[in-house]
Parts: sequence; C-alpha cells; structure tokens
Amino acid sequence: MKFKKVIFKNFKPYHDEVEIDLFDQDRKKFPISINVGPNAHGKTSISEGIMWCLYGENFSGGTNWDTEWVNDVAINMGKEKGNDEVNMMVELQVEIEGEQYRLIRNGIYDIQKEEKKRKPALKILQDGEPIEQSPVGFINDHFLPVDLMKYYIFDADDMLTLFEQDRKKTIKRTIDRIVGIKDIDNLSETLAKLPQYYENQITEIESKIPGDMTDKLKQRRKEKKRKENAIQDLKEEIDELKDEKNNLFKGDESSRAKQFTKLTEERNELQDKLQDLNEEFLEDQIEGEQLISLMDLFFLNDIINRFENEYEEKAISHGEFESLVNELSSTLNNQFEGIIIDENKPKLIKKLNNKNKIELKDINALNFEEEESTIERSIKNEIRRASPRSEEVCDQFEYYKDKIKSLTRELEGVENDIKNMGETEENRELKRKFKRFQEIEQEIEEKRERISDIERMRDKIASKIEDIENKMDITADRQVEIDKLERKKERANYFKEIIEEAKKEFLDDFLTEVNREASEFLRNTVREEERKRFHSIKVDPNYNFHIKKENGEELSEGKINRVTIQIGLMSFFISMSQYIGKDIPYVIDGMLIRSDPGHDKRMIGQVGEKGEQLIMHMIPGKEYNEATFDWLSSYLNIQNYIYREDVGASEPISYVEKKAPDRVIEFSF
Amino acid sequence: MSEDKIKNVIKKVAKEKEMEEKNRELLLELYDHVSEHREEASDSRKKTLIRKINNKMEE
Repeated sequence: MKFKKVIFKNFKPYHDEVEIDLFDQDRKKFPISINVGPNAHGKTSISEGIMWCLYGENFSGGTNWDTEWVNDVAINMGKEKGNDEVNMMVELQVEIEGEQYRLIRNGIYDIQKEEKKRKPALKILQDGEPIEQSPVGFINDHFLPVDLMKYYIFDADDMLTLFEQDRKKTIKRTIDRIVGIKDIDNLSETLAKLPQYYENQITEIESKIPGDMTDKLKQRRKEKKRKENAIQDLKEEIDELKDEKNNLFKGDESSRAKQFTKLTEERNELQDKLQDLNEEFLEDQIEGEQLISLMDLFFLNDIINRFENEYEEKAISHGEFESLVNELSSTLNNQFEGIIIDENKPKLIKKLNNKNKIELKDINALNFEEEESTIERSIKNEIRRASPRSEEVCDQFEYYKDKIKSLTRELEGVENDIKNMGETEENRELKRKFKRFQEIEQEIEEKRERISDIERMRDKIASKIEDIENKMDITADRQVEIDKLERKKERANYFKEIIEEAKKEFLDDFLTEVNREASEFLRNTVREEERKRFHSIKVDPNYNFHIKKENGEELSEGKINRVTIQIGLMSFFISMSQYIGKDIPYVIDGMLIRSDPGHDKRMIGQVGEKGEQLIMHMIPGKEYNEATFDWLSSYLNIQNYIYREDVGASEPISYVEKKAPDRVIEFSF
Repeated sequence: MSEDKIKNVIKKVAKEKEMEEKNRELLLELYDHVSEHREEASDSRKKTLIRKINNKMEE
C-alpha cells in the first residue's frame, strides 16, 4: 500500500485546498518521503489528517474536530461573507495492489452554532466513481482498527516513552492487542465462565425436580384399586338386597301385598319424574346461565334503543348524545354490569354484590316453601331489570316452581300411604315383610350414598395419580435438559483446554519469529563493534525483555544504556508490526532514536531496504540537516517543505512546497 | 494478518488433540466471533458473547 497524496481543505492550519504529495511513482524505488518544517507549522496535522480521513470521529486525537480543527481563517472569512457553514475536508489518495482510490472525508461546520452540522462522512472513489463496498467495510478490510493504527502512524518520541515508562506492561499490551492474543484470552475467559453458567442452570432445574415419585405412584394406585374393590363389593351387596326385596312378596297373592307393591311402584314413578324434572331444569339452567351472561349485550342494545327513543323527542345536543353512547360502550368494554333508565336518564348499575348475584342452582336447593322469598325476589328483579328476555327466565322459574310443588306433594302422599300400610298391618308376617321392604330400601340407599362417597375419594386419588404421572414426564424432560447442559459444560472445558494450548504454542511461535527478526534488526542498527555485546533480543512468554550477548549471556539492565534499550525496543516493535503482514505505510513524527543519528540511519535504512513506504516529519536544523540528508537521500522519494505565513487578522496558515529530492533544503534561519 | 496464523495454530492443536471436525469448526467460528468484536469488549458485550457462544454450543 502506498499513501500517494493527501489534500487538506480548511483542516487545521491548512486553509482552502492544500495538496501534499507523499509518493512519486517515477521514483518508486525510493520508499521514504519526508515533510520538513519547524515546530507548530503543520507536520503533526498531516498524521492527524490521515487518521481523521480513515476513522472520522472514531479518531479524535484527544479533541473535538468541529470546535478545534476547522481552520480559523476559513471560519472568519465565512463569517465575513455571511456564509452558514465551512466544509472541512481531507482526501487521502492511496494505491492498494495497483488500484488507485480516493478516500474523501467531509465535515460540515455550522458557523452560527459553532459546532458540527452532522457526523463527518467518508466516501471512497475509484476512477471517479464510488466503490461498491461500504466505506467502513473498505477501511476494515485494508487497515487496522483505529487503536492499532497507532503502531503505524505515531510520534517516535511518544512511542519510546510509552515503552520506557512501563516496559513489560506496554510490551504485553502491544503484543496482546496487535497480534490478537487478547482475542484468544477473551475467548478463553468466556469459555472459562461457561461451565459455571451451565452449572447454575443445572442447579436451577434440579431445584424444581420433585424427589423420587415411583413409590408414591405405586401407593396411590393401590389405594385406587382398594376403593374400586370396595365399590364393587357394595354394588354386589345392593344386588343381593334387591334380590331379597324382589323375592319378599313372591307367591303372596293377598290384596294388601298387591296394594303395597303398587304404591311402591307409584312412588318410584314419582321419584323418576322428579329426577327427570331436575335434569330438565339443569339443562335449562345451562341455557339460563348463558342467557344471563349474554344479558348484558341484549340489555345494552335494549337500553341504547330506549335511550335513543327517549332523546329523539327531547332534542338533546349531538355532543351530549355521543358522550352518553360512548359511556355506554366503554362500560360494555370494561366488564359491563348493568344500566337502568331512571327518570329518563341512564344510570350505570354498580357491580352487584355476591348476595344479589343471579345464581341458578339445583332445583332442590331452592326453597319454594317461603313464598316470594327475599332471594327469589331479588333474582327475579335483577333478571327483569337486566334483559328484555328476562321474562322467559322468570317464566322458567314459575314453571319449575309449580311442577315441583305438585310432584312433591303427590310423592309425600304416596310415601305416607306406604308408611301407614306398614304401621296398620295386622298380619304379622306381612307387617314384617313391609318393614323389611322399607329397611332394605334404606340399606340400599345408604349403600348407594357410601358408593358415591367412595367414588369421590377414588376420583381424587385418580387425579393425584395423573398429577404424579405428569410430573414424572416433566422430570424425564428435565433430565434430558440436564444431560444436554452437562455435555455443553464438558465441551466448554475441552474447548478452553485447546485454546489455552494453542495460545501457548502461538505465543512461542510468534516470539521465536519476532525475536529472530528483531535481533537481526538490532545487530544491523548498533555500531559494528557493538554487535557482539548487543547480539540478540528476547521477549519471553512472560513479556520480559532481554538483550543478550553473542555467547548467549544476558546483559544486566545496569550494563545497557538507554539508547540501546531504545534501539532494542524499536527493533522489536518494528519487527512485530511487520509480523502482522499488513502492508500499511509508516507515518512517523520525528526520528526513531534521537540521541544518535547513526542509529537512525541504520534503523531507517533497514526499513528503506525492505521497500516499505515510510513518511517522516522532521524539524530542520535538528533532525534534518546535511548529514541526515546525506544518508537519507539514497532512499528519498519526496521531500516537502512546510511553512506558515501570517495572513493578518487571523491565525497564520500553512503552505507546502515540494522540493527536489536531490539536494538538501536550505533554510534562511 | 495474525488472525490467520492464530487460527492455523488452533487448527493444528485441535487436530493433534484429535478433536472432531465439527468441534474444530465450531471452535474456529467462536474465535472469529470474538475477533470480530474485539473493539467492543464491554461487560454487557461479554455477557452477550457468553449467550452467543452458549447458543453455538447447542448441538
């Protein structure tokens, strides 16, 4: 990748449009370009401009672009001209694998509000046309995440300070971030958390599983069987009693016996009729209940109709009418309870209390003895009030009431006759039979009641059995879930083990390769006579930094001067960024090793020899002089002279002049 | 990029450990997933990561 040109418009000290060439294709064998200019003339702005172009607001350089980077002169001129905005733009022209791209980022500054108008946008053109890929995707594909780009576009002094201040930590952080160890650690940490995560889920599931229910189920089934046997026994006993009852008057042709049998048959018929009546009532009751639940609707409809009729003649306002209708509708929606028209005004009925609630019961439970009892009256009143169909329901009540009264009276008469026959019979044998007949009937009745009781108990047990069976099904499902989680737990542990081992192996491979490269870099950077002493660099897997002699002995810290440490660290750093294999030009502010130009010469020369593009900003007289130019010229692609001029009322603005790369730039100061 | 180098090492180690191919693929997928989100390693991100990895662990 080559950075070929950067164009600034109203960016920091660069007013209007300023083009800075960074790479001359005609001198493509020369990889190093330099921007020379005194302090505070706009050199660092070139690095910042490139970063802002690539990353926009994700790169702030510790500042807000809109309030601090828009060129002051442009703002003042815009104000004078009455303009609303200033366009700040950085265009970076790059060559990637032979293809030319223009990366253009625009930021619009609002002069009145003194802030950005919107987020700065990036567009990428190829042959004048926007590329198909999204700009963000393009940046992701060809560059590094913003915080990793600092290893390519940096201030040499800052970088060295960073490494010197807390060496081990910085080395670790740099390796972890730039090489991707952090990703392995993140994955490993996450995998390490997973077993506990699954364990918690298992505990939660286990807490919901009831204990072993097999015994309980067996016991319940036995109980149910016992109840069924008891019912069967009672039924057999009833059959025996029935046989006895049927045989009681066999062969007895006496008129009294016949009369008794006839009365009992008549009584049975009446009882059947009462039973039928009850069933019929229960059927009606179902309809009645539905009717009552639907009553609200019928009633509401009726009320609305009546209400409309009332008001048709009274001429109320349309608004009044609508609000009343709305009130009715909303009442319907909110569990409508009832409405009455009282003195021609609709009134909402408050919820009936439980006592007055309409509840149809088994006919036998209704007390018809008390004429027009309070409860009956209230039921009828509520029904009548509730629906136009209420009359039907009330008629039903009347019908059953009359029918039950007459049947009950008839039945009572027959039963009295039967009782009297038993009591008044003079024939002892017949009297005994009558008595026995009634005893048997009572016994049968008692046994039937007993059967009902046992059946209820049996049904309860059956529903418990069903519950247990359901729970056991759920338990089986939960066990499947637990087994699955156990497998996931094992898998997470297994994955973590592999990831940890891979990390160790990768770090070893990486360090071996980078240490070898860095050692060579070191040897070629130090003076020839020093090479035996400063022979190799070793960063160990614990991120400790060592410099070793040719014989493999380690140099103790005390015996290494600061410059050597700097050379060693910079060697390691450059070798590491090269390991990544991302072909991105270096843009370096300042020289690498300030204290000795000879080291810079040899270090930068090595980067130059590799043919990678290196853009450096240099201060004339200090980093840039005839001696530097002497050795640098054999790699020099472009040299730019950056200077500032005072334009009067505003801040000075910067200009760039491209100078021939074959001779040193002469400065008048 | 070094991601490829890391993935090659993971692949190699997983093969040496006779890890089944489907597990190997899943492990590499998990690594891809983590490296894609390297910029956003906040706590909530980590929780999301756990959830996502958990989903991927479903057989």
